[in-house]
Amino acid sequence: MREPEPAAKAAGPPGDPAGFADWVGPHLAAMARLAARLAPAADRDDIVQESLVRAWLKRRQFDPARGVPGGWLLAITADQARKARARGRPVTLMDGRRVAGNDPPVPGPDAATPASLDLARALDQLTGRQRLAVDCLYYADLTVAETAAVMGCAAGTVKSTLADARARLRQLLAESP
Amino acid sequence: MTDDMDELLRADAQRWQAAQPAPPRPDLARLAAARPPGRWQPLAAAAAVVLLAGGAVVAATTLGGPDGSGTNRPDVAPVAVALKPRPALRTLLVRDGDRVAGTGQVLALPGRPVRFCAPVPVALPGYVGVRVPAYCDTGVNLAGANLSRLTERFAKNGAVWGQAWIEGSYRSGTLIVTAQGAPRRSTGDLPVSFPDRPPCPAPEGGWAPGQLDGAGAGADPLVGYLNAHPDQFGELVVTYPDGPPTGATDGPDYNKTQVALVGTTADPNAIARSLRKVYSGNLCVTRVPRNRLQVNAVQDRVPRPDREHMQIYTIGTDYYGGLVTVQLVIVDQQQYEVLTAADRGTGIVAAQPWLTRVG
Repeated sequence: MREPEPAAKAAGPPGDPAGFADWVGPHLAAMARLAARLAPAADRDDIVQESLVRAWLKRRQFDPARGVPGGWLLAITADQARKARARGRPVTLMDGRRVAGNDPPVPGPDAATPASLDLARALDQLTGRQRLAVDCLYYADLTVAETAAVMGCAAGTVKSTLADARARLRQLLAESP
Repeated sequence: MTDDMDELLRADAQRWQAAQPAPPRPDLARLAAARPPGRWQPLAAAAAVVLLAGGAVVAATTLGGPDGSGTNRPDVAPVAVALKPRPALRTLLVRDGDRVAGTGQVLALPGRPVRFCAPVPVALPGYVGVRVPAYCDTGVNLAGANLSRLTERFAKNGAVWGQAWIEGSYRSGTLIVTAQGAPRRSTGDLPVSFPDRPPCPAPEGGWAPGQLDGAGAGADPLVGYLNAHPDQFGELVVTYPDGPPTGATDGPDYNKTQVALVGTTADPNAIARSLRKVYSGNLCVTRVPRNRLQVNAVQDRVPRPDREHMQIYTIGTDYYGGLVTVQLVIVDQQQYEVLTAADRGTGIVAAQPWLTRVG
């Protein structure tokens, strides 16, 4: 998990696209990972770009006194990912590819080790909040504060949710054949 | 957090992260072209009038079961979807000699005709500094532009480019400049109709707090049901009874209560009952003008953007409004025929040309 974002970096977003792109640059990897985890069947990059557009349009509403850029951007990304997953509508891209929003994800060639399959099955049995916390903190590599921003709860709630999730996973894996 | 499960999750997450492609770079063109989405206006009365393409006027009727009752039944909207007005295709047709206007990039490359380029979303490779843009196919030739009066003007290696609002006379793919000025903000949004708030009254006791995929009200079975019945449904829209998140900052605002708004071409009351068998969360069912199959059939007839159809640069679907949205350079005679052939009189194709007629 990454270190919390320094408060000194929490300045408002610039008003020009190039400056805004620089401002969001440090958070792009986390945004992409979060989009991939929360909407695995959707177009990850499109979710990120749409999130950036939303953030750009709302940039004047960002309040550095109330949060850091990472938390703000990731919360927007989570919202867009949820919408992409819920809608699942096909989108035609410039190159003519058609993305069906709810097609199952295609696993990578080295993604399916027996242990990871067991863990993936166990993850699927977590509650929505537990799964969200695990996806954010471990897989998207967010900080506890960023995860709290995405989940809309306090940092302490994130930690207790994670503890519950790990306990549940331990139980599920112990029960698996 | 140093237990065995913590270590297992960390290791699995590292493997997953290593397999992830690099994140996309911000699409500056998409940011620059971004406009706030239009806001849906709730209907004030059941007899509100909806204007559709081609000037047809349809009264939004009270929904109910076969017996005509049920306007206040749970999960069902009292009135049909309100579509944003949009112009009919024929009103967008530009003929030779017509005056048109738009804002875009003027690009003068050595040895090539000056181009006026549409604001096409593009993936930008990472690059710091000034780079001469590539020739743009998605645009029109430009005659008579003043290259010294461009906004954000650049010159390098004999090329000159910058932004401008241009008005001119259109003739066979060339815009003959009659007026030039600073870039203007576009006033035309795509005519999508997604509402922000559910058009259903809150159930007794109010909407259940939380989001669709949280607190045990997972939306996956609902999405699966809709996907399995494309002949009955349009869009599933995430709506917010208290208004959408403002994005002001992180915190509880992002956990605003959500309601799944489902558009159907079937009887909304019967559909609501069916959906309740697979989904227990907040739900609002409303009648929409077309189902996915109808929209997809038209979308499949619109030529994909390729080298032969560079005038069309995005194609999308608005299942809620029952539309296929097409962004293109201009609706000239050729493009008009392409779009009308795809539309086949259904009124489903909603075109948004970059260059539009003035005067």
